[in-house]
Amino acid sequence: MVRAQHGDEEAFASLAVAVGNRLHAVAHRILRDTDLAEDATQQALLTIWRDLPQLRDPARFDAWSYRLLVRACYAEGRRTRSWAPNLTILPVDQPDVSERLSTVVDRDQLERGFRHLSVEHRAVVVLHHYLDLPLEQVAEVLGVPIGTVRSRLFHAMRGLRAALEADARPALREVAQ
Amino acid sequence: MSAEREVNRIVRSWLEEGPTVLPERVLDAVLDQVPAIPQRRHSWPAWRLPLMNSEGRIGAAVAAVVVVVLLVVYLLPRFTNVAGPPSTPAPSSAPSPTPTPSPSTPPTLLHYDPNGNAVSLDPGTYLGADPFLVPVTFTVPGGWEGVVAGPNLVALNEQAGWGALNFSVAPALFANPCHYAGLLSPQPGPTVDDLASALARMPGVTTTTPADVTVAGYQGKQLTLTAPTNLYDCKLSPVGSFEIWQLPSGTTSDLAAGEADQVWILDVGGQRVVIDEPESTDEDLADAADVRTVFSSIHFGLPSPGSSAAASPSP
Repeated sequence: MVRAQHGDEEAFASLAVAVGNRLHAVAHRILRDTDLAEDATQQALLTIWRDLPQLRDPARFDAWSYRLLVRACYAEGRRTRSWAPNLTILPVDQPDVSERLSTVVDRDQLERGFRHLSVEHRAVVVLHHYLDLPLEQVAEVLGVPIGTVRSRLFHAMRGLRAALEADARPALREVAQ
Repeated sequence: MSAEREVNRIVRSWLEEGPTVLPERVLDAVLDQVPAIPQRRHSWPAWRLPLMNSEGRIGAAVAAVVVVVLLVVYLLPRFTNVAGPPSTPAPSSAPSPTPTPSPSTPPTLLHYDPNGNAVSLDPGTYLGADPFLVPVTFTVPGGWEGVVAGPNLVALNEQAGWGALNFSVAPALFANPCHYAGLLSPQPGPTVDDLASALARMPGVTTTTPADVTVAGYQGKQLTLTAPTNLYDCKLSPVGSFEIWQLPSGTTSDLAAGEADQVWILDVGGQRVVIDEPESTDEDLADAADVRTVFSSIHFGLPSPGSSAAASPSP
């Protein structure tokens, strides 16, 4: 990485190979679109190359690169605006539905629910539940207070839960909307 | 198991599905572009002087203190009498800058490096002065770095975040950032309005209408410049940048694709000072708050005679 920081293109190529798959996987999960994810990953890698000399602490590379990637995802998301910006919120005092959720996993419903989240909310879900980053680290990656991360995660998960329950609980859906 | 944990489990399982390999053609496209993209060590081009040894650094620090003391003694009357802010400042627009009283403790002299290498700043108040043409005092929280990069530029930025503030004097505008054709000719006239109007008319850039503002007691104009979301169709500068202006030192200011910068143009005692700030987005709330804090602490002019600045350590 130090060699890449000093402009060694071969060293950067090795670095890009090492991190490219991981960045692409995250981008795809945030954007839910192959073309957008590829564009975001490409943009992130180019920004990494351009700004690598400004990274003071190589130990922070992972968090820094995720931050650049998420920014690229935001840009792609804003460019296309293919998601609905508003969440459908499930009231918190509704009956427990764990039994149904444990036996029925409807990918389409989850996909629809996820697409209804803003890219900002999706990023929190993916960083925390896919990369397994603790919330403190998610906050560092996104550059937002941890309270914002908690709030986004809370609302995102409520939205996903609502989506999973939507078809089975039409009455709830009407109430939530 | 609670519903919440079950939803978490389902979502985690669902997220595991999907591609995990970056297509080779994407990687190839990146590596093809790399040779044409210069690495950004600073937002201005570096130029080099012979390296100084430690004695030289100490000497430079001592000299800096002496220069500041001389500046305070000889130049303060000029700045306080001639360049002083209006006694009744006009209403200001966001981010609600307010004149900051001189700090009770002397500000630290911001590090000067003609190479433009910023140094980490402890939380506190700093004076960006010699050789910068318009002395400016500001207060930073932790995690910032800065440098006086010459007579025309003081640059501040967060070390880990995206917040940044640059103070520029005498920028020359480029003719067209999206279809590079060198500097605009003729350049705008000498007033704040001249520069604001020229920026607002800059082709290839989306701009807001210049609005009246007062920053640190000085009147001026504020506008926002936004670059296109993709620059694929642009003919960029020889270094591959979407360039907005250039300082006499050769320093350039550019925008990345989709980037928006807020720009304040002020008349500070006859000097046209431009402050630019990359506009924060929703995800940068903490950075934005830090930038607002720094912005609201801006104070032009030298500190009061009783509080000369102390030299900051060399990196």
